[in-house]
Parts: sequence; C-alpha cells; structure tokens
Amino acid sequence: MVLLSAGCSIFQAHAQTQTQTQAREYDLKATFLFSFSQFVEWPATAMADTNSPFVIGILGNDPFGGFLDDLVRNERVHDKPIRIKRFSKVEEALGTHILFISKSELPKTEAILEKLGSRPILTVGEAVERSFARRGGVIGLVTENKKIRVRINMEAADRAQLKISTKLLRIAEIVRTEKP
Amino acid sequence: MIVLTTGVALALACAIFILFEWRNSLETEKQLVLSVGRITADASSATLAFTSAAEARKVLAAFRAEPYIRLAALYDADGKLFSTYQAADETSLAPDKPGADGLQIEGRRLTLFGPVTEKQRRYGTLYLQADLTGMYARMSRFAGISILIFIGTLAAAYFLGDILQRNVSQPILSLAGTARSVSQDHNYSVRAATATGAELGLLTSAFNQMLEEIQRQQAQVQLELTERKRAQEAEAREKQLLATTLASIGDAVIVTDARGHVTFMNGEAERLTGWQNEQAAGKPLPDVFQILDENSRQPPESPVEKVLRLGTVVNVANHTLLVSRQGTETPINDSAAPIRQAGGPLFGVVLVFRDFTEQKKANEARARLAAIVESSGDAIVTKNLQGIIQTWNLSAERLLGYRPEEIIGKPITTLIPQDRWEEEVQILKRIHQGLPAERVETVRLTKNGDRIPVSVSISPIKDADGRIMGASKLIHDIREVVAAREALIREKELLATTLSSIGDGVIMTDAGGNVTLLNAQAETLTGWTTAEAAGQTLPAIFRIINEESRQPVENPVAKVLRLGAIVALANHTLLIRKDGSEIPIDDSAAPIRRGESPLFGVVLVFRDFTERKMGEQRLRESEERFRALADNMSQLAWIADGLGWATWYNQRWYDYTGTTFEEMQGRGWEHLHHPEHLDRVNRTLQECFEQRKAWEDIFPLRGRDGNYRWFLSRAFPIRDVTGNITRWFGTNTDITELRDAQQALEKAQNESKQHAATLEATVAERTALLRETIGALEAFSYSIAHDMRAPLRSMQGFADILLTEYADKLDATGQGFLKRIAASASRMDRLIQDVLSYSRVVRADMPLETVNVESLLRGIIESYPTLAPEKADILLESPLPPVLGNEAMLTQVFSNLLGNAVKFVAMGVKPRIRVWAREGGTAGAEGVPPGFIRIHFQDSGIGVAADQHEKIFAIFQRVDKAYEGTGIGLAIVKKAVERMAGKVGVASEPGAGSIFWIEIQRA
Repeated sequence: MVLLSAGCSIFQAHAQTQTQTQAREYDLKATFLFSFSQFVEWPATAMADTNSPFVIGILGNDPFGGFLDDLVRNERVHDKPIRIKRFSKVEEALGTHILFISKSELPKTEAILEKLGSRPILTVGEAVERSFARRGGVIGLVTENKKIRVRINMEAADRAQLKISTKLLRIAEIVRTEKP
Repeated sequence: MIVLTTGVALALACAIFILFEWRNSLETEKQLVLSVGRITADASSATLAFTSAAEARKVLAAFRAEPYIRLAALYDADGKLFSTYQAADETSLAPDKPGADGLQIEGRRLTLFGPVTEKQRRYGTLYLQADLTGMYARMSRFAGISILIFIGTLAAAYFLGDILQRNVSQPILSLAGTARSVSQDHNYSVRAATATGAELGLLTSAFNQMLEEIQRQQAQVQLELTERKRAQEAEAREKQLLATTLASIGDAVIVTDARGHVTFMNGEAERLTGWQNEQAAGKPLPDVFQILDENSRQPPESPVEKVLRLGTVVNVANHTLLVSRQGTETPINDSAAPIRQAGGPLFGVVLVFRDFTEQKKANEARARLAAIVESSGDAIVTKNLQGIIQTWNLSAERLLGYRPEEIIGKPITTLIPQDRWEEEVQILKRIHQGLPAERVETVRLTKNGDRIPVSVSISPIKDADGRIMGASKLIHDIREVVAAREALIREKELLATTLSSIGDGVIMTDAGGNVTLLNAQAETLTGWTTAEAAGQTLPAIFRIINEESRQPVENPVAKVLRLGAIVALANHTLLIRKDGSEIPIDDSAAPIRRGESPLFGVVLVFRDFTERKMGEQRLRESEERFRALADNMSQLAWIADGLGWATWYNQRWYDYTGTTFEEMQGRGWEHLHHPEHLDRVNRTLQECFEQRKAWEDIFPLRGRDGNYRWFLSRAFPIRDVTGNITRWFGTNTDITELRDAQQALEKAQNESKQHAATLEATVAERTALLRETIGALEAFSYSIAHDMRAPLRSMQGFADILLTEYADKLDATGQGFLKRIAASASRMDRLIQDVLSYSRVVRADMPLETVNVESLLRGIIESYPTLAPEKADILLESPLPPVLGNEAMLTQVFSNLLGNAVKFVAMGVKPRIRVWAREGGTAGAEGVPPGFIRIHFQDSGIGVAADQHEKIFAIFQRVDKAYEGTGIGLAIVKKAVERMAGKVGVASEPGAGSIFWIEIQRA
C-alpha cells in the first residue's frame, strides 16, 4: 500500500506479484543507499556545517515510497540527522551528500553529471542499457540473477573527493568511464 | 616430618602452578579467538551491508590458514544465516540462529558470537568455533612433567633430612633430657654429657655453669631463714603482754595488721563476734567482724578499710548490726583508729565497739507508738484535764481540716457543736472517775464549720503513778455508715408503698413458711390483717381448695420451699376467706433469695380470678363476631394449624366448592386442587409455616360445577400473647378474570416484539447488501484507476524518450504536440494517483497511534520544494500538541492542506501560511469538544465564497478552474480526518484568505 501513495513512482506494475518483487528490490536498494553513507568519507568541507542535516536526494520519481524515510528516521551520519529530499531538477540538488538519480532521469545522466561537476556528491544510479558507473556516475547498482551488485567508478569518486572504504571496494566491481 | 612438610609445600606449589598455567593458556586462547573474531567481523561489515555472499565466503575462507578455527558463520541483521565456513575435516555445522554475544566454552570447543558493525551500526553477527584440543594436550604434558619433578624433589629432601637429624637433633635432645631431670628432681649435681661438635659443646658447658651458680645461692637462703625465726620469737612475747591488758577492757577490741588481717581480739570482742582469738588470727577482718546496715541489710564499708584508706580515726555509721559466727545479730556502735609509730607508716588498725541493744530497744518502742498514731486511719487527739488539745495526728487533720499547729493548745470545745457540749461534760466526768472508755455516736465540727457524724472512743491517760493526766480521743468517721443506714430505711418504705399499691395480693413468709407480711390487697382478699396473720403458718390464713373436687390444694409456699423454684398454682383454685366465703384465684409463689445464698423467704402473689372469667366470656363473643364477618366476606377463608390441618372454613368456601366440613377436615382441601399445582402449593405452604412468614400463591381450585377457577391465596400467622404461632388464617381471592386479561395483554406485547425484530433483521440485511455493493464499486474504481496507469506510463515514457532522443528530427510544432501529449499524460497520471489515494483513504486499515504533529509538519515542509522558505513563508506556532491519528494519513492531510495553501494564491504573491492548534476546553477553542485538538491552516490565498464551503470537500469539485488540480485533495482530507474520528471545516471569504481546520483526538 505504501508504494501506491501519491508521491511515488514511475515503475510499471502489471501484476501484484511483480509489484512485490520490485518492492523487495527497491527496499534493498534503499538500504544500500543508506549503507553507502557508512562506507564513504566525504571531504571536510561537505560536512563542515554542524547544524545542517545529511541529505540524501532523489532526483526524479521516487521508487522507494516511504521505505527510505522509515529506514533513516532515527539514523545519523557523522552525528548529523538524515533528511530525504526529492528534486525534479538537478539544479536544486546541488546541496546533497548522496544523490540517487531515478530511472526517469537516466537518459539525461551525462548532462546531470556535468552539472554536478566536482561537487562532493555520491551519485548513485541504476543500469538502463548501460551501467550508470560506466557512464561516469560514482556508484551503479546492477541487478544480476535477482542480486544487486555494486559497481564503482574510482575516477568519478576521486573527482568528487570521496574516499571509499576498502571494505566497500572489496565487494564492488571497479569500472571505468566508457564512451558510448 | 621434614619430608612431609616439603611434600605438602611442593604439591601445593605444583597445583597452583598448573592452575595458573591452565588459566593463562585459556585466557591466551580466548584473546586469540576474540581478536581473530574482531578482525573478521570488521572485514565482513560491507559483505553484510551489501549482501555480497561471494565476498563473505572469501573472508571466511581465510580461516584455512588457522586450523584451530573449526567453524565460522555470518548472520545478517535479521538473524538469518548468511555465509558459513567449515574446516576441512569438520563434521558439525554452525547453528541456524545466532546466540547471545560473547565467549563460551563447550567441552573442548570455544564458541564466540560477536557483532558485525560499521560506525556503530550493526549489520549482523559473526560466529566462530575454535578447537581447544591442542591446548588440552599441552596442559596434560605440562602436568606430567610437574609430577615427575615433585617425586624427584621429595626423594632428595628425604635423604638430606636424615643426615641433618643424625648430626644436629640428637645432641640437642640429650641436653633437653638433662634439663628436664634437673627441674623435676631439684638435683643440681647432675651434668650433661659433653657433646661433640664445637657449637653444641659450648652450649653444654654453659648449662653446667648455670647449675653450679644455683647450688651456691640455695645455701645462702638457708642461713637467712634461721636468723628471721629468732626475731619472730621475741615479737610474740611482746604481743602476749598487750593481750592481757586488752582482755580486761569492757569494750570489745579487735586489732588488725596493715593488710586488715586480724592479729588480736579481746574477751568482749570474742563474746560479741563468737570467734576465738586463735581462730580469728590471720583472717581478713570482714570474715570475723561481719556487719550489716540495719535498714538496707547490705554490708557497709569495713571500718578498717576506711581507716587504711584515710589514715585517720573513723566512727562507724549508726544502725550497724554485727553478725556473730552463730548468726545472731547485735546492734553495735564502734570506732576504728590507725596504729602507727610516731610519724611512721601505719602498720595496723584497732577497732573498738560496744553492744548497743538496750538503748536501742527503748528508742524503737517510742518510734513505733508514734508511727501507729500517725498512720492510724482514725483521728487521734489527746487533751489534758482542762480540755486543751495536746496532740493531733494526720487522720485528725484529714477528718477535721485543722493542721496540728492551728489546733494544738486550743480548747477541745472548738470541735464540738454547742448543742453537744453537755455530752462532753458527761464524758469528762467519766474520765475523772477513771471509768473505762465508751463509744459514743455524735457530731463534730470541721474547720469549715460542717457537722460530720462520728463515733468517739475516749480513754484516760495516766502518768507513771496512775494519776489521770488527760484523755485520748479516737474519732472515727461514720458518714458512710449513716448514709447506708438511711438508704436502707428509705428502701423499706419504698417496698411497703409498692406492695400496698399493687393490685395483686402479696403474702410474704420467712424461710420456715411463717407469714411476715400481707399487703392491703392480700388483707382484703383473705380477710386477715397483717397484725393477726404475722407468725402464723401460711395454710392457717391462705386456705385453698380445687373448684371441682373441693379437695385442698398443696400449699404453694411449702412447694417453693421444697423445690426452691417459682411455682404456679393450678387453675380452678378457690380461696376460702376468713369469714368462710370463697373466691376463685390464680396465683404463683417465688423464693426470696439474694444471689446464691439460701432462700430466706417466699413471696406469694395471687389475684381474684372472677374478673378474668368474665374476660373469657367476652372473647367468645368477639369470636362470634369474627365468624359472622368471615362468612359474609367475598373471599374464601379458612383457619389451619402449622401442619396444614384445616380447622375452619367460611361459608363462601362451602358455597363455592360444594363440600361439607367433614369432607374438608384435616387435609381434605387437597382434593380440590389441580394435580399439577398441588405439590408446589404444599411446598410453599410448608416453607412459610417453617419460616413463620406470610404465604402467597396463585393456583386453581375446583368449584362445585367441576370447573377450575384461579385464586390468589394468602395466609398469615395468628400468635398468642407470648408470641407463639397457634394458627394460620388464610383467604382465597378469585382472580380468573384478571388473569385472562393479563394473558391477553402479554400475548399482544409478544407479537409486537416479534414484528419489531423482523423489521430490524430486514434493515440489517439491506444495509449489508448496500455495503457490499459500495465495497464492490470501490474495489472496481480502484482497480480501474490502478490499471489505467500502466498505459499512461507508456505514453509518458515514450513521449519523454521521443523528446530527448528524437528532438532533432521534429520541428517546433511537432515538439509542441509531443509536449502536450506528455503534459496531458502526466496530468492524467496525477488524477489517477489522487483517485487511488482517495480510494486508499476510504479502504485502508488505519491503526491510530500517537503522532508528533510538529515534527511531521516540519518534515513535510522540508521535503517539498514548493514549501521551501524561498517559495513560501510558513509559520508553525507552538505548541502543536501530539494527536491520536495515523501518520501516513496525517502526512497526506497536511501535505494536501499546505499544498492548497501555496497553490491557490493570486499571481505573483508569495504565499504566507500560519499553522496553530487549540485544545478543546481552553480559551480560543470555542466549539472544540474536550479531548480534541483543532489545527488551523491560515493562508493568504484567493479565498472561497461562503456558498462553496460545503462543496469544496466533495470529490471532483473544482471551484476555480484557473488553477490546475484534480478536485480530490480536500475530499481526501475530509475522508481521512473522518476516518480518524475527526472533523474538517473552513472559514473563508473571497480575497481574504482561508482558514482550513481539522479536529482530531488529542494523544
């Protein structure tokens, strides 16, 4: 029911069972999105303002429903409360720490990444035809055999001045930006 | 001995060492597993966080390098087994679920459950099982070596101990033997055998030198003893001389030495103490000279000790008793003095004392007399021959009020009322004549002038030569005696008055049955006066016979005297009066006794029975009247005994039943009852008879025509004068018509009830049907809306792709059309989403919980770009108290209200919103029920006309079409709030903004 609420979603649900499978997939992705905050170090400048929250942004349609909000309600990153914000334009999302680029926005990936430039933002995206990480995003989430794999583009991470824990790197596949 | 000590010490050391080593090894092993665990847990956090099973297997596979780790496993945050590792030759399996964190030893395995965390967040649990077999093997090897060392050391200690004993212990033991024989036998001439070895030899010769020195000193002591004996003999002679002197003194003398031990007693001292000089000599003084304080019976301080303490002459306190050796007590007075050579130290005490008996006896007699006089309960006064008061005791003071100093020296006539002076003159005369004392009851005056009754005894006081010197008066207070006497007289008078005024005849006799008193009524009835009757036996004046047999009846007084109890006379008794006439009487007689004492008389009470007989006649007449009444009343009536045996029926009964008394007698009435009711009637009757309460029942009775009619029947008890129930009076009232009417009414009521029930059932059925239809419609609309979204998505998605991928292939017009398609599709999507939301509000389960309104509002404001501070000024006024609602629903409600507030504003105006809450029952919350909170959302928007206020909350109602919208937002708000048991409302005017409010329960 949560997934049917007013603010949500682009995904197409033809049957109830498929809805549930996708629900689990996006619950897991939401969990990953939060967990990245635990395994990545942001530059001091990005965390300097002690009063502002740690912002996880969603650009485009929100596939997580309320799950992500519920997940981070009482959590903190570097002693900051976490705030989930939803954006329709990348220009509004420049102050985020983690930015999830929704499938609806993926066609515009390169343009979006260009707007973000070298800001310390951990961009996370999914694969549509091509992996998000190979297109220059920091972390791409790829679904293989009902499992979600993490791909990391180290050049993109370096450009955003993000230090990714070796623990995370060990479980991830390292990729490079590829021209289409 | 040495071997044993060494053995124990060694064993203890070995045990402690093994134990220590065991603990140490175990601790090392634990630390090892803990640190391996910590490293592994750290390495595993990402694998659990990102559910990478392959990487987890790799992490755990690292244990191949650590053969003692037999099992390892990772569990995710939900406790599900995520990855496992097993040593190559391991057969057991890791547990399915994680246990509590911590280390545990199970047999030869050490298990560890540890948290897998990253930045304080727990991602799961690590399980390790380590094998301790290696450590156990090491430990048993270690124990074996320890035991070998233990045995070897013990053997070495044994041989070393043997050698030491031979060279050191034995010479010392021989020296100790010699010393023991010297001290036991006092034979200082023995010497120890010289031992070999330098140190032991030295010890032996020193010991022998010491023995020689002791032998020399013993000879010296012997010499001194002889000289001392000679001096003592001289001293004894001197003592003899002193004793002779002291023996001739009249007072008793005891001499002690400086320690207080008796050295000498003279003859008088021997007599008083009962000790012989020879026996007493050398004893401590208190043994011989036992003294007691006469009053306390406690020994006072010994005079000798006091002298020894103070060094001066001491007089013994008064009231001292000397207890002789035989136990006789002698009062003494005494003194003690120190003996010292001029200015020299004190070397003894001399104690001088005297028998005090004679002098003491005289003193005691005087004191005792005074005490008697003083403590006497009676006033004792003495006067001289001139009538002047000489002495005055305490009781005199209490009785007459004068204090001794006020009255002594005053004439005795002060105490005597003037009218009694003659009495005093007579008394004085008798005293002068030396006549013996006599008690006189008279009156005396107190200090207050009250006259009090007293008895006075007077006796003359004579001097040693027998001359009368005065008189002593003993005055006894007799106020109480006088009062009691007067009370007795009053009581007697009261009794006589009572007896004379009662209506019954009363005769009293003494214990012998002789008449002592007749009251006035008894005199009238018997014809005898008290004066004539007194002293006669009762039968002489109270002759009674049986009315019918004319035989004398037993005298009631004789009967009482025989039985000792109250006796009532038989009926039909005639009393024969003095003049021979006869009257019927009834009577009773009772013994007179006080408490448990034997009876000392009989009181006989009797009464003229003539009048009572008349009363019986009157009763019969009254009964006739009752029967006449009973026969003519409309009910059936009857009288029965407590067993239900009827003794009487009224005429109505016979008229209705058509029976006769013969048929109805006893329990004949049972034949008239309906067989179905008879048992119950009998039971209720029986109950009421037993519980002595009124009876009521309803049952049919058969009439003479054979038909039954219904009767309401009642019965109540009739009691005699003593309260015993003798009979029951019952009535039966015909209620057949009443009953029929009642039944008809009940029937009508039942029918109407049934109608109502049928109607209700129909309504319930139709309501259920209606609900079902509504439900089906809702489900239908939901699924339509839901399924419509899928094709819409395709439209939207492909339009987007067309716009981004093929923009260069379309001209501006084409792009414009495409954009319109996309915009329409997205508007349609929004409409469907809203319909779905509305449908969800209508259908969803909505558990209520406490919701923090303020933080919910802040969250909403932060997450919607249109509510950001640069877009709208939103003021949340505290307090916004928590409410009882559904958080998801409230989120929807607040979002919609805030969304409307920023949307419906005039062009170019920055929306201003103010949100505040009022609790029911507080100021500014008129119309809000208690327990509810009204939350207001005031905007600066375009406002709503009054006639639209109702309409805007209905679904698909859009007032101002200039603004984009679906017309569902407020319908959702209303539905959601109503489902949370609340209300919504609006106050608004066009152009003046709006205040939307919701009312919801307070948490």
